[in-house]
Amino acid sequence: MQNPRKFREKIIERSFSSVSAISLLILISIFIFLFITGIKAFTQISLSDFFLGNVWNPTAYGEPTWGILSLIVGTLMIAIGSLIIAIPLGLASAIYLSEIARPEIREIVKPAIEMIAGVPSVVLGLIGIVFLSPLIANIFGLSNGLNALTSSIIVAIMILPTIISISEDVLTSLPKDFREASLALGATKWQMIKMTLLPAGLSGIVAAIMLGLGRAVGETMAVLMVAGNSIAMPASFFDPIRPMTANIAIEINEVVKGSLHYEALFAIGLVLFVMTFAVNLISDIIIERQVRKYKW
Amino acid sequence: MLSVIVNENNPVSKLTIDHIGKIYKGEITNWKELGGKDQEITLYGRQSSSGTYSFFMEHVLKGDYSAKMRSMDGNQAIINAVRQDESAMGYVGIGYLVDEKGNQVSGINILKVAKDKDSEYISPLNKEKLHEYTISRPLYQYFANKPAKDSAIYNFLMFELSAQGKDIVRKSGFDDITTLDNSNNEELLRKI
Repeated sequence: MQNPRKFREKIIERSFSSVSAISLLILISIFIFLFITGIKAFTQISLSDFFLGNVWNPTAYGEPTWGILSLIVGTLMIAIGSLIIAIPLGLASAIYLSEIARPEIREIVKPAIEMIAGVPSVVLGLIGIVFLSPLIANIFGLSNGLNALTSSIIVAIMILPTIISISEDVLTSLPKDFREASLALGATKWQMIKMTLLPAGLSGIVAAIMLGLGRAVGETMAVLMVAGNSIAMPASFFDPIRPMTANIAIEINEVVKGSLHYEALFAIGLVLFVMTFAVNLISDIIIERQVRKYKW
Repeated sequence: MLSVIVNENNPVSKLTIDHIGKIYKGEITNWKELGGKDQEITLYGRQSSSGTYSFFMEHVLKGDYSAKMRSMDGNQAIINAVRQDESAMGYVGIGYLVDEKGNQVSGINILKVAKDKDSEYISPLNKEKLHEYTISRPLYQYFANKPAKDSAIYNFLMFELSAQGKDIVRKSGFDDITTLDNSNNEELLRKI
């Protein structure tokens, strides 16, 4: 007779491994689905027209055009713009919370920051339209504020909680010895943060930033509401942009299933998938390297 | 019916169809060329998934939209944008120009439109000249199959065409069915 306890153990093990197998299966099926549908578009659109063409206009009056370069630029502008805003703010807040703030302040501020992550993106988009975009228009003397800058700020707000919260956890989890050794050698608090804690926690901080980047690339709703969504190639952050996510969201509801337009939207989805996959892969590699370097 | 709207501080009050088309195609880019301020025109339109988008493209532009046009989520989004933007131009269904109480919405001017420069400029809100206003389109209803006489759908269609139904349409800010569409309808209904 089998030991009932061992039997139970086995069932739990099996169910855990099958659950993780399912999530892997889902990821693979998403990729296959995207790939099979998206790749069909390239039977009629050449790769160079698709990736290097400037004009995305499938519903043109004359010949439709399928260039996604301006859409890719739109996505990259939001990703870069929001990181430029969110990294300094996020890192400074994380350092403040883990090293400088009194515990009672941290108890209030940290949950408050994490609550930003719970704000639905459509609500942030609304705030962007009603409050932020007129403000941006006023400050920079533009006729309106539906542009890349406004979208970047909104997305920066969305990714701040991720960056702050994870970076703070990383800094707090560093061994106490690091701080004590550093201070014992005569470092000031700032020197300790700059020379000991930040390098030691770099892997985690990079992971936090990468997670934020992944969200920035994938964000749709809030961006759709404030980006202006013009198909023209943007020349500056004051121009409207149409990121890939917004383009898919705008057009997918009206395309005929199986049409070239439908397949082309899936091809864009495939490009997005590959981009976020690459971001995650790169962050994994960085983390792996850092972990080996700072093994303690 | 579609109306072309601008910000309330814009001095331009009337345009020809030709001008509107050229503006949306990106051939006219400054209000100065139309007697307005020296200011670049900011275009607001619908997304390509909208029927209004294709109708405006096929009947007013007869060409491609300027790539600089901002695509908005809906009629109300266009009105809100035009209200905030002095250099704006947008197009919306006239049902969005009046609120529930029948008052014209604030912050925007509705352009009078003429077929060509020799024709009369007509406001889309001018009830007497309704059929002379050029940017209008019918709305269609689709059914899975031909409705049988006295079925619920048939009765609903008859209700829409009754005086009571027309009254509701008018109250929602839309216009009476044109004589031409009316005779088309009658012909279709006869076949049932």
